[in-house]
Amino acid sequence: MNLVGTLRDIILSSGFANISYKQGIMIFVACVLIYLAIVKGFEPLLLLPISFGMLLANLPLSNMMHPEFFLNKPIDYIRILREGGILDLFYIGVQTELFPCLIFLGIGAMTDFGPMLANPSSLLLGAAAQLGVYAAFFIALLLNFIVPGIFSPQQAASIGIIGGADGPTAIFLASKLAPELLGPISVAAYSYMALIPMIQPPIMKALTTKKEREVKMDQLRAVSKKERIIFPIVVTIICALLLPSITALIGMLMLGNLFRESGVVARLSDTAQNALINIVTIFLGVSVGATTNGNTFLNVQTVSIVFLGLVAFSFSTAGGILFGKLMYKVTGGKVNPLIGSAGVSAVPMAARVSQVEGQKANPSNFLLMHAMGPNVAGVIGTACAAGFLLSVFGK
Amino acid sequence: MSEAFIVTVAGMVIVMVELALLAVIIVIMSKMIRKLSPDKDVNKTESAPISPVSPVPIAISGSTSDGSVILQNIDDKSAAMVMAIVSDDTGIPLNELRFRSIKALD
Repeated sequence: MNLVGTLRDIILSSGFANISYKQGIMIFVACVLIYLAIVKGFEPLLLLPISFGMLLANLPLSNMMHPEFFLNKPIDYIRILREGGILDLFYIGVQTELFPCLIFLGIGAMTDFGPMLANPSSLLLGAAAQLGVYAAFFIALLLNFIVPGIFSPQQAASIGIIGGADGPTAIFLASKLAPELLGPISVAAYSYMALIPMIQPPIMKALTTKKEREVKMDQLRAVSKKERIIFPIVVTIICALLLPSITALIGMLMLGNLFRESGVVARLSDTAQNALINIVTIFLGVSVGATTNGNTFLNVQTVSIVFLGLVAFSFSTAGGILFGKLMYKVTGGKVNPLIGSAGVSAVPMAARVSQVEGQKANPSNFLLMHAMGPNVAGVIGTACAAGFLLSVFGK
Repeated sequence: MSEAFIVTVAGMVIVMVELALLAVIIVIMSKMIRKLSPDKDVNKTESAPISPVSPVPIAISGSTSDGSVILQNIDDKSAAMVMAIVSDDTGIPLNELRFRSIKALD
């Protein structure tokens, strides 16, 4: 028996001998993200599974994830079941839209649309804060003049939706229009969502005066149970008729909300907003992280997506604030423009930022409930924006 | 590029119109519901956790607060919590604060 030869074979067949420098970089990035999730508390519920999925997918020879299985259409699911790794199996849930829709079911069960029902004009702030979606889409296409062919219209649309600050919707759209970019898009979306308390305040201050930030808003009216029950049914019908391509997302969101508000299915509501969403978050996070394979992830496109994500968030914040200023003028100073920035979905973090900035300007100011209106409206707005982009580019 | 610009503008307009339509529907729906069942329904849902208490003055633990306080639509426990928060925020000891009335806003 040749001991030296055996040892050499063991070393050569180990991960150490087969790791590429790109995989090494991705493992390092994964460790940084794990650090941010655990130590800094940046969106840990999502960032931790995503970053660990990133780590697993970049360990050489582990064969847990094969992104190439999902690139050829139609996808050969039998082959994936036969030859795929555990992360491939998880990823089927992303590819088939199952996970984003189940996440929306849970979000619906957790969301109180009361502030929006009490002040329906907040829906307009939620719409205005979708400006970043379209700005990033347009700028992504403009980049083709600098780097020819860098982004197709489908890819630009998927990148733009990062501006909606809604992870499940971004995953939903990217998996349909540009599955090859799902990894960078979802990582950018969730990373910037975690950074909202740092991204938004400078823009909010730059676009508003101290007088505007000091505005105290009237207390919201009480919303009846009947309104709360009828709302999800009406929204489902209207949105599905206008943009059929988002029926799955909006339908699940509103079903979850109906569970919550009807009061007759407490067990289902509890399951949707706790056990179910937690289980799906694990699968979704790990499988999305696993799409960030170093050999395909580290390129000019990824760097551009990170840049465009920041552009998208900034424009969305500015869009909401500027519309808030318009409402301030129209209502004779009754609306604090700071609530406009909460129109980027990121529930409830964006609303908390509005509250904090409002209190800095006027310590007796309580904007949280007012900001929750545009905040939850932003979820519907982003779904509508995704539906529009899907109907234009999804053929 | 002109197509991209058209998509950008059209997308923004469509999202705005769709949410504006929803806002109008919500306003109409709310008005109809409030007209058909005025106040009764709202009180049942929004005030359910708080037992309706008539505005009668009651004395709350002489050692922590000075005098009596009128509670309107608020229970003793919530009132005590409000007092504790005010004391904590202002930095004034509870036995040096005087509350005249505490009223729950609808």
